Amino acid sequence: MTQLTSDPQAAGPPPVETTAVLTATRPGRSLPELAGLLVVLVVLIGFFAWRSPYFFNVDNFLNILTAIAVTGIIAMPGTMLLVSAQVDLSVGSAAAFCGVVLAVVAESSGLAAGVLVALLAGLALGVANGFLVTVVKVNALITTLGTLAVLRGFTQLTADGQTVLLGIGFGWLGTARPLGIPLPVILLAVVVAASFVAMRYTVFGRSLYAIGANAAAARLVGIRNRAVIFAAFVLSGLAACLAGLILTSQLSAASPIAASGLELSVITAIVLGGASLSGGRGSVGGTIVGLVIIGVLNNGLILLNVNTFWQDIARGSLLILAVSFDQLRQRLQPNTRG
Amino acid sequence: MTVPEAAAGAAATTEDAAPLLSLRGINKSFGAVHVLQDVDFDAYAGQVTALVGDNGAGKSTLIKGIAGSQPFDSGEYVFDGHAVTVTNPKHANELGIEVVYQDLALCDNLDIVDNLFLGREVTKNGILDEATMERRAQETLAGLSVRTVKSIRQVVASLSGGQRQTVAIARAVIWNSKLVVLDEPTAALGVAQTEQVLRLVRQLADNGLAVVLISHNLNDVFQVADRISVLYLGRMAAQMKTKDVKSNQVVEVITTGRSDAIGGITNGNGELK
Ligand SMILES: Nc1ncnc2c1ncn2[C@@H]1O[C@H](COP(=O)(O)OP(=O)(O)OP(=O)(O)O)[C@@H](O)[C@H]1O
Ligand SMILES: [Mg+2]
Repeated sequence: MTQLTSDPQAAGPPPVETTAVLTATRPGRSLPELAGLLVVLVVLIGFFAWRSPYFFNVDNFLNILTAIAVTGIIAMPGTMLLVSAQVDLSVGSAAAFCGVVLAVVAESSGLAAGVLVALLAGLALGVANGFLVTVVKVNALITTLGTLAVLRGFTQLTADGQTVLLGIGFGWLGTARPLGIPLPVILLAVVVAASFVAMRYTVFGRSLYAIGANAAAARLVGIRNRAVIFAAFVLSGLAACLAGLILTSQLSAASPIAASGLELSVITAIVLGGASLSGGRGSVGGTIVGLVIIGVLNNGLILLNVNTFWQDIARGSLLILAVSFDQLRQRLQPNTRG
Repeated sequence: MTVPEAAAGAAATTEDAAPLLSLRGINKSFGAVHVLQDVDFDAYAGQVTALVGDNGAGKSTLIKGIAGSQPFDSGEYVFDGHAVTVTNPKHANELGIEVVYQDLALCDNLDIVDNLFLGREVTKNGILDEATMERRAQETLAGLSVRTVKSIRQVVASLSGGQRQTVAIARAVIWNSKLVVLDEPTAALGVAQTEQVLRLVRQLADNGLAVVLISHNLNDVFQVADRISVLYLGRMAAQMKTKDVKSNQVVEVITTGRSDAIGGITNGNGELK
């Protein structure tokens, strides 16, 4: 009975013919779920501020943001993909690959050439994933699980299994602080703003939500599902590449094992932010809250000198807790699915 | 129950008007299966034409051809006086043809306005023009005398079956369409919601649209349709005016494919076939 209203078989009592004028008030959807998360965030911040004298200040907050910049940049197209019921698991490998490409090409042909070739590589990886998923029609999970392994292998081969040092001055991308704000944080803000507008105020974003909820319906109303999904994969490739460049710059070196497991952090943040693996749900705002929660948790545990292994345990538990809570919430309020 | 009579009046006034949609000698096969064979079909502005027939008779196949989502293999397709070739849904939409599919094709996670404009959003400089879409949604729903939804920003998942059907129908008329095809709009509805949707169907025709109504329920058909076309195993068994026939005669044609029961075999225009 809880899903009464969404079941066309359930005719229910005759509808009451209200004479109310049609209003356009939005019954604040997605607010309750974000509210729950924000409470978690505030509690975490309060707890760490109470326990550590180093937690609650601007510099530490900038540290947290810098730490989530790489994950966050990838999580933006990641949110678009998950909303349309797709996923890109190859982002960690793609980031490492682009970093190594940058380092290797920069060594022989200069920094500009390195950056350019790396970005082209990111574009090509996105195109390859998009092509396999939308044209060859291999399931996205399988496609990107495959490219995750293939890319990691190529990265190792390209780097000859070694960390490639970056001789020339590329440190600015990861470490410059215009106006006192770390450049990676500024880049994150730009990517977030663009993604927010795209998801919320454009036909592209609207189409992603429609495809994720009902792909057949989207096709029937004339949405070019495959083109939309293809575009999201290309964005994911480019974002992974940008993240790879930032990582490489921060370390002044490209490691072939960099960003291993990054795809899991990305998905954790997105799902924590309210997205569903079956598509149709999720938002840029939610993903940001998810990212910040993870960032605050990691940062706080480090400040409290907790063994780093506990970070994984805390993050995983939080994810399961959040999703369980969300399931319960949905069952209690059938009308605010959405 | 204040659903109008089968609007014999409207039928009388458009007696001599040419059909808005006219199909002749339509064929469609899926591999070796010949699903539609030499089918003729007409639909008239201001009238509800019911398309009936047993399961698998080819009703959905016929309307998918009309809508361009599964184009016909051969045959003549005349719309609004012009011979056309409709090969995709966008093309059909441009002509003014809209289909409300059996499974409605709504996105549960989006609200009413979003769904009404899905695939054809109004934009300004690349940004969704929500204000314009809201206004047009309100106008359209008001024009259909829809009073049962609280807010046009309600998420579709929270609507009843009848309300969902209403949204799907409103989407079909929001673009000043000329022909609206409804595939079993009342199949999943209870009594009250069926009445509500049938009233809406009648209203569309009274607003001047040509309406094609697929239904398995002859009560519904006799309540709102001006004409009845019967498909039997992929062939058009009969096209007739509702006022000329009785329900049991239509049942006979649906089940046997023979139209002897309705006396002279007519194609709906009184001509002998
Ligand atoms: N894509 C397809 N491939 C093969 N056969 C098909 C396809 N679509 C329809 N058919 C066949 O064509 C015939 C007519 O199907 P159609 O869906 O048009 O019937 P219908 O009159 O709409 O039936 P119902 O009342 O059950 O909705 C059926 O025998 C069906 O199996
Ligand atoms: Mg059918």
